[in-house]
Amino acid sequence: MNGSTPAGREVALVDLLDRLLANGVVVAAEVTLSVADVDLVRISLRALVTSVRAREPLEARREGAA
Amino acid sequence: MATYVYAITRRPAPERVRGMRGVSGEPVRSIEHGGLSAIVGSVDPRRFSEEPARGGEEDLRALEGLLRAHHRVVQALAGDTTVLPLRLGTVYRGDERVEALLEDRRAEFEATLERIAGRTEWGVKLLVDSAAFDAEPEDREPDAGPAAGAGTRYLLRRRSEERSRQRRWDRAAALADQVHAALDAVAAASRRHAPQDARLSGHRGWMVLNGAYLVDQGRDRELLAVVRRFDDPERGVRLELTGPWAPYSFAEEERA
Repeated sequence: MNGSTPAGREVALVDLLDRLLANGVVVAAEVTLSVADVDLVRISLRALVTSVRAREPLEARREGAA
Repeated sequence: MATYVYAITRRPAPERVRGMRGVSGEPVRSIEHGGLSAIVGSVDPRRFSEEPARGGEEDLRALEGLLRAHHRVVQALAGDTTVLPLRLGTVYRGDERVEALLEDRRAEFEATLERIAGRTEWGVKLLVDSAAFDAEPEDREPDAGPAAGAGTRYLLRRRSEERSRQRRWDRAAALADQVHAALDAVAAASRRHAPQDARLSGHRGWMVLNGAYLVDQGRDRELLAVVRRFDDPERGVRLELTGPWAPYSFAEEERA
């Protein structure tokens, strides 16, 4: 079992994506945050993979897909 | 300046917000109205509405920066008060619009704050190593018989491997349901997020469960006990715990 505490070490970006982009109370805000538009984010995932993975330690990068 | 809203809490807004910096490096402050506090910061609206992002490296860095800054504020609040997180990127034209929001939706916000009070979100992922998982006798190669040719043996082996993989997948999925049910039993509410993309998470094997559990603070240990009970790396079964989180996954009414 691996635990991770947000206070202890940096939270994984992918766990933040799960929670912050698809969750949270939605109110009718008046300005659209274009960068966080969900469809856009989905389209951009491939680019995000590249930029995120490049900064991760080698150990985590070994063998990605199942 | 526009007003970026991070979260809503019950009054008074905790002291610890003071001195914090938000998504634009701005000081975080609170707007109090009718027994509720909106935790906000003043941001340049152009930063958020100028032009559609194209998903380039710069936009993605900006997104990651936003995610982390937003999370930092919410998480700091969650330490000592009930916090209702708003979706990333909620921006209003000014403080008075935020006051109107608190006024118009007060009953709904109060009900949600009541529902999440004294509870914490935990994340539990179940990862199955498809090779090590539960190799049973039926998964072994069938005997093709001495008379079978090389081509036949190859086809039989291929078909057998596919069936074995399918059986292991089915068992992994069943185990995920079982683990989720056991975690749900100690939780006040639960949700299953979509499994993460391995290219993003870097995980190995099959992620068959990516759950979120809203747990009464007195029952955290019970949740941890369930996680330990099912965690069995030798059998290719690994559970990953994340948290405690502010109740992001439970900020809206439960969806069916």
